Order: sequence, then structure tokens, then C-alpha cells
Amino acid sequence: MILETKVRVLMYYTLLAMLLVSLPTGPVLGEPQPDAAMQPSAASLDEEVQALKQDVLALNRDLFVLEEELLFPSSTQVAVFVSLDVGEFFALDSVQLKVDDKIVTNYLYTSREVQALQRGGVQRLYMGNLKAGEHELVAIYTGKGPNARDYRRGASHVMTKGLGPKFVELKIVDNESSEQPDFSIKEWE
Amino acid sequence: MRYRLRVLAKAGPRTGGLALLVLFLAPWQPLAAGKDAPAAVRDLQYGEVLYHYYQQDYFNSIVHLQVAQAQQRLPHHAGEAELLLGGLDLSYGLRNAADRIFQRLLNDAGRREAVRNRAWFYLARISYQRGDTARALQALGNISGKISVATRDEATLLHSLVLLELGRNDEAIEVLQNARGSRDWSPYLAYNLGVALIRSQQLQEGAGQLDRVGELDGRNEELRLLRDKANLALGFSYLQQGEPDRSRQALERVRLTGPLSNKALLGTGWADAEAQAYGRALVPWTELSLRNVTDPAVQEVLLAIPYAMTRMDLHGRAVQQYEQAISTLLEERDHLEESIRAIRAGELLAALQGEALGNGDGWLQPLAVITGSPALRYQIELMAGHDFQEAVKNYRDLQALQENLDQWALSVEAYDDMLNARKARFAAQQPAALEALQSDVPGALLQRHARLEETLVRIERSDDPIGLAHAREAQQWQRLVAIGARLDELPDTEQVNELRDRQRQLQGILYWQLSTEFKPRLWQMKQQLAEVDGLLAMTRHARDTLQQADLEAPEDFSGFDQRITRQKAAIERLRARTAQTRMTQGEQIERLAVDELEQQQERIEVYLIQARFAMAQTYDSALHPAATVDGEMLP
Repeated sequence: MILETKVRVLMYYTLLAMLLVSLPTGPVLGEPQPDAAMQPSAASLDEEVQALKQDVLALNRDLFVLEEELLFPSSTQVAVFVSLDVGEFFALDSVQLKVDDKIVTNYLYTSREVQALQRGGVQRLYMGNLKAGEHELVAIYTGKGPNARDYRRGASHVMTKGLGPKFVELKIVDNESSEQPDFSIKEWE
Repeated sequence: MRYRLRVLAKAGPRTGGLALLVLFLAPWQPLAAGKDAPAAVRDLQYGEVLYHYYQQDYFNSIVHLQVAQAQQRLPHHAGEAELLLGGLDLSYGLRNAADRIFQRLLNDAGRREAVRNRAWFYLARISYQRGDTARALQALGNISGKISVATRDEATLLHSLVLLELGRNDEAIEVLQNARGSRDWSPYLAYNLGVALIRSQQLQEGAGQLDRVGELDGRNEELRLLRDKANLALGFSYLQQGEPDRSRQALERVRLTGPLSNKALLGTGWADAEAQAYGRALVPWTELSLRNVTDPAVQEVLLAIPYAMTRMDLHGRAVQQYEQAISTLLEERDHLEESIRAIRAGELLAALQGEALGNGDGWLQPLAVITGSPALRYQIELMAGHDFQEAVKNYRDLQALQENLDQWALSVEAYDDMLNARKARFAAQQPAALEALQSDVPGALLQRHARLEETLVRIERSDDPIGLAHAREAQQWQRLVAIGARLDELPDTEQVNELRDRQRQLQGILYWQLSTEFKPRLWQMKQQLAEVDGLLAMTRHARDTLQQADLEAPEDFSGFDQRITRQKAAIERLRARTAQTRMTQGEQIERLAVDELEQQQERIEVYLIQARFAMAQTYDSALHPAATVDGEMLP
């Protein structure tokens, strides 16, 4: 009996020690300690951090809108986006974009960015100004194609820039029948 | 017994042995946020928001969403965008903003049932995070009807957490037993069911649940950690029930290199000790004693080892071990003191500042210990505290805000230059534009176009092929007509008559040619006039645009001027506020860290007293073996 008591007493230390170093769990739902249990100063500090974050977000929104209106007026604005559907036959490494035979951007992707594209995200690759009229876009893609071979392909498109902003999507789509990636360029109104 | 009471008193109101075990059996809370797959992208800007969201860049995701909303570029995703914004706000720690969005969504009766259910779920989660369990339960109770599988599973898990927190274990069991978890969520639901069963004293059933989780194939790190946690909980549950063999079996399934391995090694030793196999207990305990002594489990084992030796009548070795334990604990106490001094000197905050930052994620990653500062020696122990984690997250978010504001401050300076360049270009082109506007060239062109149209109508009506003759043909026709007139005035001679025949023949040929060409030429003329019409329309449009530019540009420039000035002031105000808040947040981090380390110091003091006392008793036992059969080690 005495032995049992001793073992348990030590076990209590052990369990307590474990409680002091609680197990790592996820941040999303938060640990069981509620805000109400925090010190008043900590709670009010958290409120201030929330308010500050919101104000900085609102400022960023206003500045992005201002920047776009100032640097890319709608009469000349052209934005080029990249999207990737599935990506089974093509692992994207980079995209080079030429407008009217002039290189306007070269973009090298991280694996995190490629994953975001594969899940349905769309990347804004380029934003610039073009006069009304016809312009040629050429996109050159590099990466790994079927059987992990180095792959380099291009797609071109002549677009007509009107008076409003022009959005263009560079689409990479798996072609199941040919087991090859398809590269196309689509204009959005 | 005094010491035992003190230890238990420190554990708070729920101080019984089982209560401690129950506290240790914390329910699982998932790492993953909502996993509902988004609908196909129908607005490019919505896809752009998702692009940042999928990279867990919540800040930029929110900004792009708000920009797209302000520019009205999400016509096909308006409802989803609002729901996504609420979720993003929540992920970025903006509970108040998220709460408002979900309330707004629920106040809109036109929302789909699935959207409303998701909003209720989020509201429940926010309430739970705030500690308002009553509101969380109320929100969860409003979920009904159509719901995605992922939301249903998350809601069930949250429901069980809230009920467990309220001590309503039987209701939690009912909720979890009725759940139909998907493959992704089943292990977590099963784990929480095991915890709930044990908490409601249904030990055998609870052990069975945890056993199933403990035998999972860990297909990712989160699942492997869950498996370890289940085995650890199961092991200690069996130990509490006095079943050391089953306890050992469960504890031995915990990975030896995982984050719970120290606790498992300690427990395995205790399972052996419970079975009075002290020699076997020394194997995991010795392994544990070689690990980092900052871990309380390692500190604990320093006393457990000589305790086992005492039980094996190895008094001499036990005394040596106690001496070594005391020396190590003293050293550790000094280290703690050194760390507290370093933290107070600002070294912890300096290390936090040196870290690369994400935008709303990555804040739980341990700091890279490159500075060797004693302030970072206990970072793992510190990070285990919820308040400390939250404080560090806020601190890092504030640093990211500061960097964001610094970058905008630079950019806005450049906007002034750009605006000036635009003003200069406008001023240079304005005279030519004004001249173009003042001249009436388009009006004259329009008149000419109208005259041409009338002529063509007349020619078509009169079916007159001569009207469409080219310049040379017209000239030839006029010459032939003039020759005919002159020949008519001459007397009828044979020679004149021949010439008249010749003239009529040539005129006939020319007329025939023009008649043959009439239809194609008429069509061509109409085409050309239509093209001219298009060009004239473009000219009119360009002129209108120019007219607008002339009228509006000065006003636009002044609008930009005012906006830039206003934003500059806003940036400076926010920079000052962020710096102040960050300083306060830093002070809070230091306070929390020092409090935690001081608690560790207190625990070490207790261990030291215990070790010295036990060592004295061990001496006593060695000298008077008959009198110390009970071997009572603790006061």
C-alpha cells in the first residue's frame, strides 16, 4: 500500500509536469483557455491588435485601388493572369511573357505557388498599359512534361485592346486524350 | 503528505488523481481550417484571392478580396466572397470582423442553407475561441438541413469540444457516437469519443476507442501525432486503472523520436515500476535522462531513477544518482536565472525580430536558434502556452504590418513623381489637343460623306453607269460626246459618216464596258462608304474622349493629389500606432516568458528539496535496513 502511495505521488508530479508542458495542438480552434481568462490588459491589447490589422487592411485596399487608377488607367490597362487545371501532365517551372515582341515579365514559380495554382488559384502575372488596337501576346512556358522530361512550349495570341480594361488568361489545361498539356490564351471582357 | 497536497493544490480546483488524468486527456483540436472545395473560378479576381489563400497568405488574400469587392469585379462570386472573407478574417485573427460578417450573412434571408450553416459554424467557432460556450452551443444548435461533409464533421468536432469543456461528457459521447465522420475526420472524432468516455468513467469503452486510434496508419504528421497522443492517453489511463502491462503496450507504440516521446518514456518506466519491475523501468528512464534537461519529464526522471535503485536496494548507486540529480537541477536553476536575465535584457524580442515573416501563418514555427542566446533556451516550453503563442503571433503580425507600412510609405513617395510626370505630359499635349478640338475638320468630313452618299443613291436610282466611271473613263466619255457634237455640225459626207460610225462604235463600247462594271462598282462604293462611316464614328468617339479629358483631367489630378496626401497621413498615423502596440505586445511577451520560467524555477526548488530529503532517507535505509522496510521517501 505504501509503495502504491509513493508511486502515485510521483505519478502526480509526472502528470502535473505534463500539464505544465501541455501537448502541442492546433492553433485554429485555440487552446481551451478562453479570452475571458486572459488578463484584462492582454484582452484589450488583443482588441487593439485586431483593430489595427483592420485599419492597415483598409489602407492597403485604398492604396491598391489608388495605385491601379494612377498607374494603370482603365483606358490603357491590361492584366495577364495564369491558371492551371490539374497539372498532371505538366509541372510548371516558369513563364515568360512578351507583348509586341518585348519581354515584359519572367516568372519563376515556387512549389507552394504551383500547388496554389493546381488547387484553383489564379495568379496575376503582369499588369501594364497598352494603347487601343491590336497587340501580340506570346507566352513561353518551361517545366517538366510527361515522363518528367524537360518541356518548353509557347502560345501566342493577337488581342484587340479597346477603351476599357483588358484581362487575359494564360490557361494550362491537361489534355486527357493526348496526355499532353494544352496551352491557350483567353480574353475576358 | 504535505508536499503532495501542495503539488495538488497547484493544479487548481480539480485536484483528484483522476481529475489530473482527465485534464491530461485534452480533446483533439484540428490544425486544418475549412476544407470545403471552392466552386470553379468564374471571376479572375476571385481566383487571385484563392491563389493567396491557398498559400496561407491571409493578409494579401483579404486585401485582394476587398479590392475586388470595391472595384465590383466579383459579379459571379459575391455570396461566396463574403463567406470566404469571414473565414479569412478568422484565420488572420480578426474575430470581431469575422463575427460581424457572419451575422450579416445570417441576417440576409436570401442566403442558401449551406451558406447559412457554414456561417453558424464559424460563429460557433468564434464564440468558443472567446470562451463563450453558451453562444457557441446556441450557434451549433442552429445548424440544420443541407450542409457540406467537411462542415458537418468540423461542427461535430467543435460540438464535442464545447460539451467536454462544460463537463457535459455524456452529451459529448452522444454527439460523437451519432457522428458519421468522413475519412479525414474520423480519427479525430474517435479520439475525442475516447476522451469523453474516459472522462465519464466508462474506462473500458474509452480505452477501446483510444486503442483503435492508437493503431492507425499515420499517413501524415498530424495523424502520427494523434496516434502518439492516443497511445499516451491510453497508457496513462491503464496505469491509472492499475493495469501496467496494457499501459506499457500502449506507451511503447509512441514514436521514440516524436514530440511526445519523453512523456511516453517516463510513463513506460512508471508502468514497469507499478509492476515492481524496477530494473526494467531503468531502461526507458536512463534513455530519458540523457535528453534535454529543460523538459520537465527529464527533470522528473532524474528523481525517478534513484527511486527505482532504492527499491532495488542499490543504495550506494541511488545516492550517487541523487547527488548527480541535485547537481543537474542546480545547474538548470542557474540556466533559468540566466535565461530570465537575457529575456529581461530584450534578447527574446531581438530574436523574434530577426525571423522571416509570413503574412498570417508560420507563427508557430520554432525560432531558429542561431544566436545562441539563453533567452531562447526554453522556447519549446514557452511556446506550449496558449497565451504566449497568441502574444508571439500578434507580435509577428505587427512586425509584418510595420514592414507593409514601410513599403507603402516608399511607394507613395513615388506616386507624387508619377503624378507630376502625368501632369507634365498632359500639359505638353494639351495645346495640340485643344487645337484639334477647336478645328471643325470632323464636321467638314461628315458633310462630304453625306454628299457622297446622296450622289451614290442618285446614281443607283437613275441606273447611270457613267456616274461610276473612273476619272480616265469619264474623260474618254466626255471626249467622245464632244466629238459626236462636232461631227453633228459637219455636212453629211462619206468621210464624215465614217467618222460618225466610228465615234458611235467607240461610245457604245465604252458604255457597254461601264454598264458591265456598274454593279460591282456600286457594291465597292457602298463598302468604301461604310468603312468611311466607321472611321468617322471612331473620330467622333476620339474627339468626345479628348473633350472629356480636356474637361476632367485637371479635376482628376487634384483628386489624386488629395488622395495621395490623405493616404500619406494615414500611413504615418498607422506606423506610429503599430510601433506603440508592438512595444506593448513585446512587453507582454517578456512578462509571460519570465512568469513561465519563474514557475519552472519554483518546480526545480521543490525537486531539489525532494531529492535532498530522499537522499538522506536513502542513507538512512542503507545504515538501518530493517527500520526502513517501508522506504517512505516523501514527507
